[in-house]
Amino acid sequence: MSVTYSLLGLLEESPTHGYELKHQFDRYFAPDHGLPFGQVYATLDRLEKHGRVAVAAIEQDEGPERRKYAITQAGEDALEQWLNEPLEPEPHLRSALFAKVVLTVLRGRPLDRLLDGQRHAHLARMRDLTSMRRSAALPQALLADYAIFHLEADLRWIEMTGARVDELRARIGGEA
Amino acid sequence: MIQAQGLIKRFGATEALRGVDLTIERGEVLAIMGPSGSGKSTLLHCLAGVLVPDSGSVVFDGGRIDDLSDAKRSELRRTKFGFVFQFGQLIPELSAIENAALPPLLNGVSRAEAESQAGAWFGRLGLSGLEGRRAGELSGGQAQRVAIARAMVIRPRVIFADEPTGSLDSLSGEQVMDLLTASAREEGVAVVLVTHEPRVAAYADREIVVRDGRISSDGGRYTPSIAAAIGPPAVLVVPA
Repeated sequence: MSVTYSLLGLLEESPTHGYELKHQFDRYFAPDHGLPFGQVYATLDRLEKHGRVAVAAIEQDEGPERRKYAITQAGEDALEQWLNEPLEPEPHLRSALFAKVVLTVLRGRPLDRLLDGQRHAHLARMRDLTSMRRSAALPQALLADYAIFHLEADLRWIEMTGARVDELRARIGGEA
Repeated sequence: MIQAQGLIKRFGATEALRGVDLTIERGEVLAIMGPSGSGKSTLLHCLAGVLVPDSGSVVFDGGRIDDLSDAKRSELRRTKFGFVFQFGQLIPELSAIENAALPPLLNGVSRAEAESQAGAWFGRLGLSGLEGRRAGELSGGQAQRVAIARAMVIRPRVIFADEPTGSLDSLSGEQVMDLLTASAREEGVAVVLVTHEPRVAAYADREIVVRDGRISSDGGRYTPSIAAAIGPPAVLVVPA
């Protein structure tokens, strides 16, 4: 979903070729693993079918023809609506970490080692991101912040879980 | 550079530290984490010679500091250590530059020289133009940067920081941590940082977790991963 609207949002600036659009997308949203060209063109085809973009020009030099896409009024409206709608809040309760913690408690294994190891791994990643952010351009710095705050949320949950381990064992162990 | 062994510290019947061993290397930035009441601030105060442990030893640069007289420990803190606390703890009657110049002034440096030394730090910390402001006229982030200047001005060997961003919003907190750790690294100063915020601990080279008066986890020294050289992950995008 967000790829579709991100491409629409980039097209809002000015009509653009698929090739250029892919590079803009990678720069802002996916610096470490780019969007495949196939996905860019498939998304543009679908948007065109739904009347949200239109081909503004077709250019052909030596190679294959190059289509320049422009956002339509319907596309503008759809983008506007998407930007204004809050996202569904999605707690990541089914994460592997959650499952590991429950299983560790259920099996009576030591939880501290798991939580300490995970804290250390999370902090190492946060350090990578923190040092990277110092020299990053603003879009990359925002992306790093986004990741840092999510990792921090995990860590806060880890600390809370560590503090509640006895209570957890009593409850989960009692139900097992 | 600092070695603590078997630290025990009691407050009445409460045992705040129950046998802590810890070594801090020259120039290392160490985060002490842990829940409220775990003993992390007590540990910081014992390492900094503010508190004297009931048993165990603290060695700084080869010499024990836990058995020094009050006067000697006070001198050590004034000449070798810098401190940054949660609420800048600036003296409200003094201007920003006078606050930052206090440590060298107390060490017998002339007022003009002390203020000139502090002024150099004002430039480095983005505080130029704020020299004459009273402490109450500074924002929280500015006050903490003045506190960093005050800590750095004597060219300390170690900075002890207790929840230095605890009273700041996220962005000011990041700026303070950026400046604190960057200045310390440039000068080769070790930083011992008490924090319960993972984002703040992420500025450190190593984190330890204190729980019930003991070190329950030592993460070991951080080595930057290849990922740090590549760029941030694409977290915003879920394929269509």
